Amino acid sequence: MAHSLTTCFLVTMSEQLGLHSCIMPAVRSVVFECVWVVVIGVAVGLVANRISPKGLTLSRNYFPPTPKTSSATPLSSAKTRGRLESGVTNELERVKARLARRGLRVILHTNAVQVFQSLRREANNIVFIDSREDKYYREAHIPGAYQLDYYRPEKHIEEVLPICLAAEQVVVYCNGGDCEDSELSAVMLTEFGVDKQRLVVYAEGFTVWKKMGMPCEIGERLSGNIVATRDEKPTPADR
Amino acid sequence: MKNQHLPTASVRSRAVLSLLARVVLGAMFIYLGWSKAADPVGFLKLLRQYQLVDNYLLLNFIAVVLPWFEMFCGILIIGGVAVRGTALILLLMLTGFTGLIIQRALVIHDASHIPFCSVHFDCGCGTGEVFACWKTFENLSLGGLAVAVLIRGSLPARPNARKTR
Repeated sequence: MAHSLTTCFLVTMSEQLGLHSCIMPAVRSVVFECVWVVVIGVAVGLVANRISPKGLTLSRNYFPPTPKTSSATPLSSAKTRGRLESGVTNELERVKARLARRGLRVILHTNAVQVFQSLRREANNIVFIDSREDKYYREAHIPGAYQLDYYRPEKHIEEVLPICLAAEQVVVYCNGGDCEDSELSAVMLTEFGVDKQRLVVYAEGFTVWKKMGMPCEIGERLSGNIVATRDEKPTPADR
Repeated sequence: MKNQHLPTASVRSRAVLSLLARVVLGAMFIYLGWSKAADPVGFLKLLRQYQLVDNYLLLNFIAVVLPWFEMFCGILIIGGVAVRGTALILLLMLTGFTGLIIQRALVIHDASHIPFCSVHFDCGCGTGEVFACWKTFENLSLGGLAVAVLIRGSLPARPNARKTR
């Protein structure tokens, strides 16, 4: 049906435009090649994604929308509301505003360091969750942090969820800045039953952690391979 | 008489140039597709920045299919299968990609007030951060190759081989 309609259309057009009769078969040939290349190419893509260990889940909404307004935000002080209404000016304020709309609490670097140094962390009453992928986690992460790759949660959720449910405070981080993986992971954890009041997002992320010369663990969790960079001056390359 | 069916030098050189154009175009798309397929999450995030589609299913579909589709087209065009159709598809893709890159570069240019040709960002093409001007030039060059392949098709070495199809 499609073939005959296309043929009819092309013949009509060629007659209208006065095209030479030898051009139309070539055009038809090209069009049909396009059609089958697209059909087979799409099929190849879907099959390859299914087979690939890095494949995405077609049906998953990886980026749930940020609510426009949040009626009960922990940061909805008059000052914050005023800033939200007038428009945020710097990146950190923008990140804080975005997290506030999701109803997530934010901690900054100073607080994150205090939490890290707390004795409660050693008893797993406070846990750090690294929401970055394997490559970045293994390069370096906050010592003792559990990995929860937001895009492949099935790899870690069974280990991490019970710990988060039992912890008094869960600090989620990613690279910071425009990276949304930490907040998306935090939202995912709330969907799995973790109390939102126990969740905080370390807004500035690992980029600032490393830049400020804090200890970083390399490789697996509790590998013992900790790089203490406090004496090193952060370089522009660390940004 | 014996030389009646031998290709002329110009026909041979056109065939070689046509093959070269197909190989360059095909290899480029195989490389770009592979770079994206190797990091589908990264490609998904970059695709989202363009705000092309609101529907997450469509976004996922493009992120899943496009890298492998590019590689498939690259293989077809190098292998000389459905050359003209594939070249037309690549030309349409390049046109769309170039438009999106220019549009995004203009947004960054307006927001940051830096010269257009100084704007650089990760376009999601599989080559990391690129300068907008250079990427536009690269895409236009590839588009030119696609046009040449579309016109020439898969030229045979001997002119009489066409008549037997």
